[in-house]
Amino acid sequence: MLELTWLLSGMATASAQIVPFGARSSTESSDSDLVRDAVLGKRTAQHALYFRHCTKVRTRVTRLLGRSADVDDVLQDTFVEAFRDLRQLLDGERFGSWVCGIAVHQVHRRLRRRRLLRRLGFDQREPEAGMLEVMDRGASPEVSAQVRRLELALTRLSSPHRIAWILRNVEGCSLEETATQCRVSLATVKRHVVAAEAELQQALFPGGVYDEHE
Amino acid sequence: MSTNEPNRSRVVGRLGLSEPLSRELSDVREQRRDHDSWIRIGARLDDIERYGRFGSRFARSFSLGERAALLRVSIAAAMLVGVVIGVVTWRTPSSGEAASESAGLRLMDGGEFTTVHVSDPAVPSDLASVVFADGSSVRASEPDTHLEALAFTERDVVLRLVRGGISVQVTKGGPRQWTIEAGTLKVEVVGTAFDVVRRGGRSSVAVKEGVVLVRSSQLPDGVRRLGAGEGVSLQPSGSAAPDTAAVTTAVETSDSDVPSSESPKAAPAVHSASHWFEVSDAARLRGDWATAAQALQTVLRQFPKDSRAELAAFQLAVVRQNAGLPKAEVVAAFTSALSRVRSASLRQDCYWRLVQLAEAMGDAPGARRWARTALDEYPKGRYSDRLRARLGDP
Repeated sequence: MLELTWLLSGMATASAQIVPFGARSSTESSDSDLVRDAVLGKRTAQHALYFRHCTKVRTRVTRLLGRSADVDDVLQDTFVEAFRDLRQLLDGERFGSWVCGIAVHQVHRRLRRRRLLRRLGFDQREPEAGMLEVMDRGASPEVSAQVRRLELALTRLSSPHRIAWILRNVEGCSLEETATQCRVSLATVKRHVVAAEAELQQALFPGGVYDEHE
Repeated sequence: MSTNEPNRSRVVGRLGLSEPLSRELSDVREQRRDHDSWIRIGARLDDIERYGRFGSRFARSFSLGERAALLRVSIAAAMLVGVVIGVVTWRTPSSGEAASESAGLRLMDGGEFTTVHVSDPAVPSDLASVVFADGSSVRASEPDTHLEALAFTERDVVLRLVRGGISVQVTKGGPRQWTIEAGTLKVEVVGTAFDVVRRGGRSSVAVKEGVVLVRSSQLPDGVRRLGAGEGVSLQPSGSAAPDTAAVTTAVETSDSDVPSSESPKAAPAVHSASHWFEVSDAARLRGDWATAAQALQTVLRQFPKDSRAELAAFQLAVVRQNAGLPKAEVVAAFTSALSRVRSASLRQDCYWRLVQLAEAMGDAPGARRWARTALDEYPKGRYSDRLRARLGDP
């Protein structure tokens, strides 16, 4: 389990370094300046903010959702909500983490709806790979298989547990940051993470025997 | 992939591209996807600016032509709904109009009922009657009867007996509730036959068939339920206390006329003690402890020197016990009865019940005290053996 987590977080770091060329606007303006202009309705400022943070948000949403078909919708919903409620952001420099929090909230809503549709029998599709999309393409088949197993186990968690665990163990967020992103208290997010780990242990190692040195 | 050939490019992916080129292509795809998303985001932000938050969702779902068509359909539907509401409102009369037009219930001949006024003593009272379309009827049972219609709706018939007497027959199973206002009392019925008289400030009702509710501030709890053969007569009183002496109860057998219609001169102002004992006995038979208690209290209040007053006091305590009042109150009732009762038989019964009540309350010393008192007074009484057994006396 620890090996997998290390692997996934390494992939997160690697994927975050991919920079789409030609799409970023002025890098001289800070997030604060851009937020100030975006609040006034300047589309260029909104454009710049979007392209500066969209990759990070997309990656996070992909890992959390696990299905690429919904990622674009969630990404768009996230930024629409962010720009619509931008006046609520007091510190422009925190735009990145703030929009990630909105994305997590959107993911939570999407997972809840997906669970409801599945219960009603309207969504019988198997969850698609989410973490696999952002993995290093040079990963071995064995690692890919392990990641696949982990992802399937994650789909069986409740959305709060799943989101908290991924943010903490895959995205590498601190507990405080995870609590902020999930809009819950620190104690609650700790509970979610512990519960998720227990469920994953049970799902991946049903015999109860796990040797991290294997 | 061989590690012995580090210089050979690895072939990956379905296109057979080299790894660096594949990665470059992936980057371009991601940029394109981000760009497409930005276009959609920008369009949604424009819609929010133009239509507001909720309107933008509508704008996103339909094209311009579809929106125009939907708007036309919505306007037409709103106009249609408005027309329907207007027609329904115009055709539905108000409650006031219904009351005056007797829209709910008409007479058998289709006419409207407004008033019955019989003032000529020479006119036989049987002629002063009205029959309604549902078969209900109202007949003036006394000369100089004045009855007014207050409301006739689909659900209510409200009449006001100004003076005189009427005999009402309400068809059972009807949808309307009949209410007769008669001075100090109000009678509510659904399907029954009863008589109401209002004469010189006194109002009375006697039920022939069915059940009626009589409301008056002079009644206990403001309401009284009367069954067949029962009646109530009220006099104007400044007090609304339920035990006021102005409240009298008449228990009539069926087929009798309204008490006051026989002869106002002959009707006594207060019933006799025998009458109240009969009321109490009848109430006890049907388990109406409240009425029985009231009747017995009336005996004690109005006829304190009657030879049967001690019996009333004893029976009142028994009624309170049967009514399930708290044991402490029942003990107080029997203790009070003891202060009135002189008859040996009744006193021994009081003592015996007090012993049992004390035992039931877990008051063993109290039970022994009552038992000792009873034995002291009646050493050879009806319950002496049982009392001695409780005391452990030989």
